[in-house]
Amino acid sequence: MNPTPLFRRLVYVLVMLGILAFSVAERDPAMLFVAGALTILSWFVVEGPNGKPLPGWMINIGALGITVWLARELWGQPGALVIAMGHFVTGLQVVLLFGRKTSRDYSVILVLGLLQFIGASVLTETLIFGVLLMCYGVVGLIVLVLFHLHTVSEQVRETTLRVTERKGRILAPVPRPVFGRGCGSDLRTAIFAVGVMCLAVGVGVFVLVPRSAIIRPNPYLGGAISAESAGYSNLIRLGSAPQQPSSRDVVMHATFTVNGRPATPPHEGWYLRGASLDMYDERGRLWLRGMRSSLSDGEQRMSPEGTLLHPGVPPGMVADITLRGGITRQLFTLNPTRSVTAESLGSILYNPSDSQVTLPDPWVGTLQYSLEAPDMANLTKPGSPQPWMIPPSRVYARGWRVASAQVSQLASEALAAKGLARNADEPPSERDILIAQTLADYLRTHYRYSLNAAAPRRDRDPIFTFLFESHEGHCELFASALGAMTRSLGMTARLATGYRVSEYNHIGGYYVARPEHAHAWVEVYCGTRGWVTVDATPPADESDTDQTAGVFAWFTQLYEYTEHAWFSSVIAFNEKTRREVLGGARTSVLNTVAAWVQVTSEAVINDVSTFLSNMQFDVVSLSALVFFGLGAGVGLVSLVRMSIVRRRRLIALHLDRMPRARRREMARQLRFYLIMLDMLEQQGHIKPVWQSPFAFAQSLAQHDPATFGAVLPVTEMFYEIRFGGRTPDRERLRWVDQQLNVLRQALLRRRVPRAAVPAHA
Amino acid sequence: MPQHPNAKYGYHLGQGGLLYLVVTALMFGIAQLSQANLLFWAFGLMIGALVASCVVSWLMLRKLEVQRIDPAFAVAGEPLILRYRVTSHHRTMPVFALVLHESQDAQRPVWPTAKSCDESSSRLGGTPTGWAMHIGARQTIQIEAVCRPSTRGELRLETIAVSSSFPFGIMRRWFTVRQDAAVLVYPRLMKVNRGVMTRLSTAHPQGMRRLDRPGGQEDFFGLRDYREGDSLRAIHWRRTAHTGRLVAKELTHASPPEIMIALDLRPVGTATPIPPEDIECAISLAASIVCHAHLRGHRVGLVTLGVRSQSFPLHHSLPHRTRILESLAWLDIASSSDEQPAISTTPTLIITAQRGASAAARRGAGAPAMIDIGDAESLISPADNVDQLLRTHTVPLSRRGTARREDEP
Repeated sequence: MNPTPLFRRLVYVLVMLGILAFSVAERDPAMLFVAGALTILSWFVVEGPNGKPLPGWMINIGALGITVWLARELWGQPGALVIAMGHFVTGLQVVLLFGRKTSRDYSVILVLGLLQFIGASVLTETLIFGVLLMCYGVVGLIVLVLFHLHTVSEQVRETTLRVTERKGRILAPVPRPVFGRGCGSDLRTAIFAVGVMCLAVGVGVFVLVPRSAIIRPNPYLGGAISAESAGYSNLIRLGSAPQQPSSRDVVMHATFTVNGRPATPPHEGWYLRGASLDMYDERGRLWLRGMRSSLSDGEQRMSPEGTLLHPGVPPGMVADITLRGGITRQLFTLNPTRSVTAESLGSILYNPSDSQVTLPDPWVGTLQYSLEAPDMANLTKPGSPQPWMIPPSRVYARGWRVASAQVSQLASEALAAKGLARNADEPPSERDILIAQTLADYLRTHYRYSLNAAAPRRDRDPIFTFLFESHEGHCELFASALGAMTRSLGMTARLATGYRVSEYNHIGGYYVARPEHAHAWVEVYCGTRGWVTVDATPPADESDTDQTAGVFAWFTQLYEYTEHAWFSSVIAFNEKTRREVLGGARTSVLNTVAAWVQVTSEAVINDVSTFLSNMQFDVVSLSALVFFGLGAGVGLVSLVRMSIVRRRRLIALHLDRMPRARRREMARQLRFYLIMLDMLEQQGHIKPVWQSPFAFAQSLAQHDPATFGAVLPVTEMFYEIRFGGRTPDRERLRWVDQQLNVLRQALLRRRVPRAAVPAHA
Repeated sequence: MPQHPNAKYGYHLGQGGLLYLVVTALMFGIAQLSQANLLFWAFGLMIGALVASCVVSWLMLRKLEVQRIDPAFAVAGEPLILRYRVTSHHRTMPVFALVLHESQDAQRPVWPTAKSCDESSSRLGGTPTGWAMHIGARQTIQIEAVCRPSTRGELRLETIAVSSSFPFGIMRRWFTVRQDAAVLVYPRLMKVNRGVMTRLSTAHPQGMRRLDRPGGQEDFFGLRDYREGDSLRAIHWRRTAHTGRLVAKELTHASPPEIMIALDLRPVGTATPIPPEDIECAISLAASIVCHAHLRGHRVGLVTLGVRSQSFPLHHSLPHRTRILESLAWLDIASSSDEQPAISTTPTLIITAQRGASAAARRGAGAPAMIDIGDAESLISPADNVDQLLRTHTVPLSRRGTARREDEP
């Protein structure tokens, strides 16, 4: 078996996997195409039937070109160091594949592959990359083992060639690799065992290495889900047509636990708010957060137990949220949120007046955090005041200037149709909930949801156009219209943007938010009831809460669950998870051991007691039982000892490879040799295992011929019987006994202290 | 349980392992800095590879038995194949990438590289290194390692170093086994030009065939009475018819050409001592001529002048040739002696280590041929195949115990 051809093939596979992984990480199909094609070409050029490596100067020129390319990339994009280095490493690998490859070149290619994967690990965290990483690990393991065999072979070959070469002539052929029977299957088993061992230790190290409490955001992780493709924006631009979500990537995973029980569908949806927009700019036609609110943000240090936002809010619900690899400065929260817990964050910016939570620095990558909130069902019950709520100022989120008279008239007419009315000077009260809901119902029933509505005219406000002309629009227009109508009636209302989460993964048991779930709605201040969420968007915008329909729905959910598991258990593994895993493992092990000990001891005690109760022992039978037990124990120990002694005798007599049928008879015939070895051993002359009986006898005879003279003839007799097939007759045995007696007497005469006898072993 | 009770075990972290540790530490630093879990994974796998490298190699070398099959002899400057018998006593576990080499240091063997060259390896002409890619459980294999002894005399082999760095080559687990052995290295053997051999063998009048002994298969020698057991073809029928009793004819023995070599290692006059390399060259020349003469069927003898050594009368047999080679191998050039050899045969060839001695010597009729090492360059050339020169060699006589060959006198 020659490992080199397989190793050479697998190196190409490994390089291809590296290129694929880096292309996936960078999302650059052009690189995959070009580098992959060049790698395949290099296989045909170098390893093909008429293949021949390119000369060294061409390889050097190629490497120089790659270096120039690296400099150019770094010059053009100074921030993209990892990407540029990835391109450089990939290019260098491909160039080296075209040349003649020694062991050193192969090791360079393998090290470059490792660097390439480290770079790719910095760039992405997707499940596909994880799968590629696993494949790379498996192929890499095989390649490394084969490379080791190849390298040792080359080293021994070089060492031997140095010995045998004289003036360019090889004086002796280099010995060929030696391998025993079953080499291939043994190698496969060994690789598998080594892989399992590496994986086990890797898992242990992964779990045991402590993580930092504060994680610095990864500046390169923008490629997975960009801010634009996430669908969310922290302001609303009404002057332009809304952008359609370009992908269905999962933006957020969320699980909701209400009063200790997981929340499952059917549910109308969870409103996870990001930005709170209290100001409408008529000129720019956009909703934004007022300057006063922005300046009121206060930094709050995060604590492991959670940072309290509204200390008075009663707990009842917990939301565990995982934000996936996008760029964000927003923490999506519930309305209202009692506390936030995020192991990875050092601090947050929080404004109590608009309940918006932002991050001091943009976060890139996966972010896990938990929210504690009151039970929404209790909160929305009539007559449940929210005394913790800070009342807004008289100017906050109030007033409407765009065609205020017409909008107010429209709102009043909508209320009048339901028998309601509101005075503009009326203070906020619990009744405002009903008014806001009525207006939202009016919009839902009289206006049509459409993402393809015509762009608004430049000379008209988009909200005016929506309310009085087009009568169709998207969620931002519905929310803007409701905000305008409530404000025109003197109510305090603001817009919120975020995600309306309603899609549920039945396999994983969690909710999923995608870019298409980005949403806008209205929060109305209702006096003692605080800020109440009101959604005016008709149901056409709402995504299905249950997506189990469809042929591939189950597979899609399975894939997304696997991805979720990958993110939650690998990518988002942090100090908190680590402590939980270790604590859980410790508890589990202790519980299991304790339970096992308890069950086993109870079973043994029960069995023994049942046995004893069934048996009626008198003194004689009890004595017999004890005697029998002791005898059995002694017999068992003797059997083990006999087995060991027998094994040693077989090895000493070189009978361990003889057929079992002949062993006993031969051992009986060669007993004299064992007696001689015992006699010698008592004097400190132990026969080494590697030394043949004749060499041992000869060394003793040379050492002291007078004493050990009898060893040689006895050994010759041993050879005659063991290897010569001669059966000893009575006369010969008597002669052997005489020789042994001579040896015994000689040893007795010698009387040399044991420590002074030179050891032959 | 190790199969060698006195074996020394240890680990060796080479340059590659050191580099691996540095890269692992670097990986840990990057992972800690970035807190990227994929890098923590990579770090964990690298630690796993390190642990596997230590554990697997430790397990593999636990139950190995190694024994050198001591070589019978060697020739200076020629490859010597050392063979090792390796037995794995593992029940299930195979052994991979096992490397053996000869070492002088039993406590810390040096892994043979291009730069490592100790006293032993220089005497051996390099470090003899053998390897086995795989040894199955309960299997015994034989591994070969090649060395090239540089000088004649006794070559001592002491310690066998066994190591394996499977599966990744990060950590090398080794153990050493002390197994002393001595190999007799014959002098360097060269190819002697055919014309020279012919000239040397016919230069002496006694090198012609002699017809003075009966019992051979050559020419007619005489007649005698027929003895029971004689071949019918030996009957001289005409004489039998004359005498009326069976008469058999006797044929002469062929007497092969012979070369009596005198190896003169004495400096001529009071000249400066002869450089040791010239003496070695003369010894090598003598050994080469002895081997060639034996191959051609010549009776060959040797006397050595200037150093204490055994003399060999004219004789032709393989053990005789081997004895001469052994004597030349053991020749101690430091032990000068003025004793005259106790052999009456006149040398037919004098090999002297003194350069230019042959030109200065007086050549007369019947004078022996003389070669000095200055002439040797034109007479000899490197041997293509020393095995052919030595033919199938026997065990050196000094180590054969009581065994005897039939053709031994």
